[in-house]
Amino acid sequence: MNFISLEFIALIFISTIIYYIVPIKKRYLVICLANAFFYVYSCKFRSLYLLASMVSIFFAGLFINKIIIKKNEVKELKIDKEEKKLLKKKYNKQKKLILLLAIIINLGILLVLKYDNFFISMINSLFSSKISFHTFIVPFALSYYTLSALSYIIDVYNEKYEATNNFFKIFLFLSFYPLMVEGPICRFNEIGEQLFEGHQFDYQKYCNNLLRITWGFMKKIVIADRVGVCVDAIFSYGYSGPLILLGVFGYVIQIYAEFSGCMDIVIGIGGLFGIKLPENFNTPFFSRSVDEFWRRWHITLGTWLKDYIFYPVSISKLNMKVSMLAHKIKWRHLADTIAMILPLFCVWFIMGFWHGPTNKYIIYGMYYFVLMLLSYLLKPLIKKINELLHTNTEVFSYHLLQSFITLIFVTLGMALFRVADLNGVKLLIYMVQLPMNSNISILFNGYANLMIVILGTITLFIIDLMKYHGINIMDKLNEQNLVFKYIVYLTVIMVVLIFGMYGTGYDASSFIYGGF
Amino acid sequence: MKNRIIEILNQIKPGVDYNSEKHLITDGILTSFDIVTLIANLTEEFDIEITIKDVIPENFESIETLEKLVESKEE
Repeated sequence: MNFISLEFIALIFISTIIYYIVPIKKRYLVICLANAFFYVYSCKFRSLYLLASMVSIFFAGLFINKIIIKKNEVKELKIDKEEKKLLKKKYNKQKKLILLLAIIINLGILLVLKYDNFFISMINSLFSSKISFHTFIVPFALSYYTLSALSYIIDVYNEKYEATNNFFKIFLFLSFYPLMVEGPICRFNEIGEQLFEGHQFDYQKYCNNLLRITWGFMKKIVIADRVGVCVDAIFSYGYSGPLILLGVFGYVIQIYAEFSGCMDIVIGIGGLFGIKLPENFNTPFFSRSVDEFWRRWHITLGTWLKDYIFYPVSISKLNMKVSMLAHKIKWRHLADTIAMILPLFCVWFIMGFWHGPTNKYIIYGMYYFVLMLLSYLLKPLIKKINELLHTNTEVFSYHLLQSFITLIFVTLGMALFRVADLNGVKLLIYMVQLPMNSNISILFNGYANLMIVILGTITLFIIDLMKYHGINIMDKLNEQNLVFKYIVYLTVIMVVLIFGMYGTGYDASSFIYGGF
Repeated sequence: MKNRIIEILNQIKPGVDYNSEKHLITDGILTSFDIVTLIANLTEEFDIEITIKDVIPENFESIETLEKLVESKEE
């Protein structure tokens, strides 16, 4: 079932209506049924992979829980210290073993289904073997729910919270149907309980969430899909000159409008059930550094990598040894930078690899690794230069300059992300130097389309600017009179219906990030 | 101990009133880079071992919580 389809819209309405009809304590069953229907209808027998993840983390969590209880009871035992130590060690080993098993099952499914050909080609080139390639049909949202499943079992292992003994909670957590396209990557302690407990119907919230869903559709099918036509043409290398730059910037608009639009739809659907899902974007293009950009863009993936890769690697014994050695250097900042190398490398390698097993994505990850490391290393130097030049760093113009530089670096990264392969980068650099061989109007199929994109992007920018300055547009709208509110609702709906790019020739149903 | 932690914090991120600031993480004053640098410096300075279980926002919110964390690790 496609996200942008009438059947999906029907599923949203039917499931939310039934949700509020059944008794409050049984409402979670409606979500369970909707999830099962959506996933089995969309993925057929491939739903078993999801079931395997659910079962594995549910039982692993229970076992780890039991071991933790036993471990905690050791304190009370009337045995000597050495015996207690040995017993604790034994339980820690058991705990680790179960964690490893759960990780192997979940990561194994992901690696086999998504990365099999990458490993086969590696084995073939290393051992001159001739293992034939096999392409599996990857089930919906595999990369997303696997990260959620891993976060649950690692958190239970780290005793951040107790494992649940209610399978329904795990079922709801891993299969909530709006999340089954592009995430966001949720944590059990954020949504597990929320999905299970019934929520009261709130008319105002329901309307707000419907508006947010429509706004998401607008971003996707009015802006992103319209820019997508131009971007696809340019990235098929038929155009030259400054049009290439237009294509690259167009892609930034496309991916932002599409991904954040999808998140508006997802979070809006969650809101219809009274469930608050985590935000995945927070005005990323107002960031003043690449580091800040990644705290505002695809937030849930960034925080996942921070919590489960960056921190554990940073404070691992190996990295602490590196840090200790580095701190023998007199220049403290260089020592701190050296201690960042391994954790940042792991984060950005995994970030690249998570997107796909190709050189392009790995280099995309390494691009950010170098950028992050350099920006950290050069911080004191930039500070010194600013002091020497008496630059006021707390004024609008300086912030604007920082945001502009960040945008340039991010755009270069996006271009790397968009090209078919690394030769595409060379080709784009060559093509941009040639004279312009077409005009913008042709690329957009007429000026009307171009105008819609410009107006849409300006609207997007204004709304983001308001959000950046702490103005909640939904709260502002709720303060207005009923007639005005309904005019706004109707206008957004009409814009989507009239200016949306759907029908023959447009693939409104696909999402760029849905492919990961 | 308190003064030494403040000294380290000032080296990592100067210009913050660490005596009065109670939401170093919630308010986004300390980034993940700062936290890792802070952990490396605390480990070295106080000869303690900070594990992944300790890396939770509540432990890094203020000078008081940091002091408690170091004390608990010294025990």
